[in-house]
Amino acid sequence: MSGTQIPHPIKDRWTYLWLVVATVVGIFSQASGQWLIPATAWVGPIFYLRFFRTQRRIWQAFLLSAISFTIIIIFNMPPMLGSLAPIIVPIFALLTTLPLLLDRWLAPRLPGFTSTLVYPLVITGVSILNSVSSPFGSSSGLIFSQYNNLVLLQLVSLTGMWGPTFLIAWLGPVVNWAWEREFAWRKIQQGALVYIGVMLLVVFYGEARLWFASTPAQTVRVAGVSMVDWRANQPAMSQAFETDLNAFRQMMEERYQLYFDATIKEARAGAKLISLPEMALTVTPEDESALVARLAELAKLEEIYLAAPIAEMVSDAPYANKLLIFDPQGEIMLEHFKYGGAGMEGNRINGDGILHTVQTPFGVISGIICWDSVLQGVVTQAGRNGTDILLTPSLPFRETDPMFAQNSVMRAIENGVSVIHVSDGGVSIITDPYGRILASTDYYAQGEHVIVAQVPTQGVWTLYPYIGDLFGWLAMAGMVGLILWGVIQSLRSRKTRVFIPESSSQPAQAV
Amino acid sequence: MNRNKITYPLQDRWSILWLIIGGILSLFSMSVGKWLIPITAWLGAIFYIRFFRTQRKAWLAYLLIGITTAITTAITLPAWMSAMAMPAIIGAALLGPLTLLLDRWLAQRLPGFAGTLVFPLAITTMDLINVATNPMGSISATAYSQYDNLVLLQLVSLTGIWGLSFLVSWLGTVVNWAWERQFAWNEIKRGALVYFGIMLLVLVYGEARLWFTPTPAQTVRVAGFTMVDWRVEQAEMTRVFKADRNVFRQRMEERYQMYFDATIKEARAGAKMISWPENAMTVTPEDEPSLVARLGVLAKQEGIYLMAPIIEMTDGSPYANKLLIFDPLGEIVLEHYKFGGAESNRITGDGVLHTVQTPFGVISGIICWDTQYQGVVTQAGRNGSDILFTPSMTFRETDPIFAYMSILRAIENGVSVVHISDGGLSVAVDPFGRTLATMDHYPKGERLLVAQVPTKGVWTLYPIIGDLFGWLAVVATVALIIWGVVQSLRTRRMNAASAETQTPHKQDV
Repeated sequence: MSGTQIPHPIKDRWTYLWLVVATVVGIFSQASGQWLIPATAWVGPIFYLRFFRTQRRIWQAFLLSAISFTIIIIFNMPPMLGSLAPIIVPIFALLTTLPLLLDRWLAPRLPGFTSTLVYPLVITGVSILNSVSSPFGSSSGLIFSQYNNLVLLQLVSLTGMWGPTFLIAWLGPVVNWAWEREFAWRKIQQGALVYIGVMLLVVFYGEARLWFASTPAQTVRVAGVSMVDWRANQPAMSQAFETDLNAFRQMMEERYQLYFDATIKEARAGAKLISLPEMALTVTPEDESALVARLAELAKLEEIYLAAPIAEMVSDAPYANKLLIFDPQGEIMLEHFKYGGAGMEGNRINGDGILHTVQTPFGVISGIICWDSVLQGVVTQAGRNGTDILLTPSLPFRETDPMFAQNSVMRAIENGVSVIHVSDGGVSIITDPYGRILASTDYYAQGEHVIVAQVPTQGVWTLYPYIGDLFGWLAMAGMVGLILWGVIQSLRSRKTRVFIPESSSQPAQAV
Repeated sequence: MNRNKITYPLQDRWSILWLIIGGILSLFSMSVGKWLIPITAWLGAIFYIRFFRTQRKAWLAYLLIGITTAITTAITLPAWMSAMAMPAIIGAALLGPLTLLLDRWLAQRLPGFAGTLVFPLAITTMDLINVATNPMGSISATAYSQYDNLVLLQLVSLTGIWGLSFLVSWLGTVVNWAWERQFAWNEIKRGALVYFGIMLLVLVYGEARLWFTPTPAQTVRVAGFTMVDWRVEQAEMTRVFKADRNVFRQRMEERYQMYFDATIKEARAGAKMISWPENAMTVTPEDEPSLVARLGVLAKQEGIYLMAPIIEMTDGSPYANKLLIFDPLGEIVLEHYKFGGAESNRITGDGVLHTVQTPFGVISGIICWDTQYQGVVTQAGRNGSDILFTPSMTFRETDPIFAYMSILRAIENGVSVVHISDGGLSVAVDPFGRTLATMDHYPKGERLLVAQVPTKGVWTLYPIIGDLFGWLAVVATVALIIWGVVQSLRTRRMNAASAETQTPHKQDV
């Protein structure tokens, strides 16, 4: 590799142009944004890095970048964040600017092509920190901007989301590295070939994995139905619950009937496993046992496995949001309490985060609920406990649609399980263990809200569930290591300066 | 652009290595091949071109590429091609290297970056001529090799499959062009930026098209299924047909019953349109009227639109392979005869696509091999079709690639496609080629597909301009050849005129 040290700042009279370009491109690169054009997620950092590295004053670069990110997030802010916006926007803007700052500080100190690793390591490190500390888990991760690139996403079966995250972020510094060397082939040859080679390998891996996947030995007919718009009807429901419990009961009974009828219809058409969306069965704790008995009866009568999400309506006591799976004998084979979004959904009982399984004639099934699916570390249990089919009944917001569906697809590839994501108020999707769509329906189109698919009864082995977020933590360690190294280097060079003040050349400007 | 003259052959002691790499890559780049890794279609050309330009003798390069192509085609060609295999291998081996020869001859005569256009224009021309003359339609077109890249495939809504033929093969000459200039940025900057810029535009077009489409206003529940494996049972069926007509009738009656039962079941679960695969109803001409009457009754009884493909078993007279669409009143509202493919003794349809107005949009239908005729299918993009049914019967070896081909017709014409396939992958896609449902014929279990299909198609340019982009490539290629010949003659005359004063000119191809 070329060991030429390029000190920053670099002179570039177009520096502000790059910021403008980066901002415009950035508006279209947000994973859970309003307008998503996946290529922009690769291209944007090229210009941010160029801008940051060509600014004379670091504090000014930092400030302007933060303003730019604020603009981007305001353009993209899903209204559901509402009251949280004033808190989230500054945190996001600062977090997003931090990797640029670290890049500027550390990259010039590292020899040659190694310097390109700073930015992707920091981006990946920040991403995994965010995924373990945010209640929204990994759902806003950079990788979700690449939702339509199934070939690239195959990599998560090995590295989890961190491999693609790293690769996306790596392009920016690689291009800048070449740019700073005027793209002189002799200087950049090795580095360019390393990046292109790695990308080619990743594409080969994905394309070969998809093409050579063997035809499943067996499939089972699965159906999902979404009969009411829970969220749209929520105010009326709450009001009835508070004022007239009998009216509430009657209102709910009408819903149950819709779900029962649809279930019977699909079962008689041949579905062996039927999933309802999150909160399909909203009930008071005192009516719950009667309802559960009726669900058991339904499963037994129609000889199906029934995945029935139940939400309790209570006045003040903690309520349960859970998933019951009934077998064709009418027995409850699995009870799962929602664990994701703890503390964000009122006084909810939080599950223990253990994924249980049910052995069926068509593979091992397991289930989680909506928000659970954004905690990728917890869901790796499905990749280790033999699960073939994972149910993820959900109830998203229109504004987050289709984010939760995309999360479920990611979990399918990571863990090598088919995923059945039946959603009230969002995209419902059923995929095979490679994330390939078996069926997909959009809740917001007029028409029936029924999804049906022939689902493979066998999952596939993947590496990721066994090594977990290892790649992410390695990036994190790399980032911390680099920062420590940078601090030590700074201290040392300061000391050196004290000893040889006459030294002719100025040391590279430190941050 | 830089005008440094580079003439072929170039010196490169690794020349043969590039041939080997190109050959290995081409094993994985055939659209109907056994193994398909889409990126190899982009990379393979880089090495073949490098090889061809660095061989001293053009005829030797031609021969070696021809042999390599014959070997790789023979290895990767699917078994079902049987009788067609030999002509396909010979054709590929003889004609394939022509594009490389043309490139070697003309690229060096064109100024700078313009030289990179020769090869992609020639490939696009070759693709178009092949598609226009091949009895199997567009089956071998480059575009199909990119089946998994929905973003890139959006381009066919503008240019048809020709835009992809061009872009995929252009990379090869662009990389070689840069390679020959030692990737010196100053020399290659503008050319590289032109190619990157165009690729980026194509990606942004595709990504934006997919993201900014509004949610469909309405969808309709459509079901399809395959109940028998027609091809596996074909031998036995033919034997019985010849030996004992009554046993044949009884066998067929059992099949009808399976299709009838499944139809009733799905209709009662809420399907408004039900499609069977090609050949689902196999019948003798004399039994056909009564069968058709029963189909009418079925559609009426269940209140559905029924897509029923019928094939006649005859003793030797021409037979029909057709698609009937019944409306919920039990009337035949569409009759389509298969026009594609080369099955002998079949009554060939006129290739006119008819439509049916329904409460769930305008529907139309074609059969299996018809789908490969992208030019004919553009009618669906002009006659207001919203949903196109393409009942099919494919081979295990072509599973799933035939389904992917029908997806291209959806994107080209802006129609939803419901492709129910006996012996292959069945798919339902929206007018952007996005999967609504898929079902593979081969796993054990029910072979059923249910999808909520948008009832409105979208407008696209391609059906209006047709294969214009392909023909433009042909015109450009012909013009380049003529120009090249004229140039050669002129150089020769000039050389003859100044023969005494000049050193011998560089060796031409």
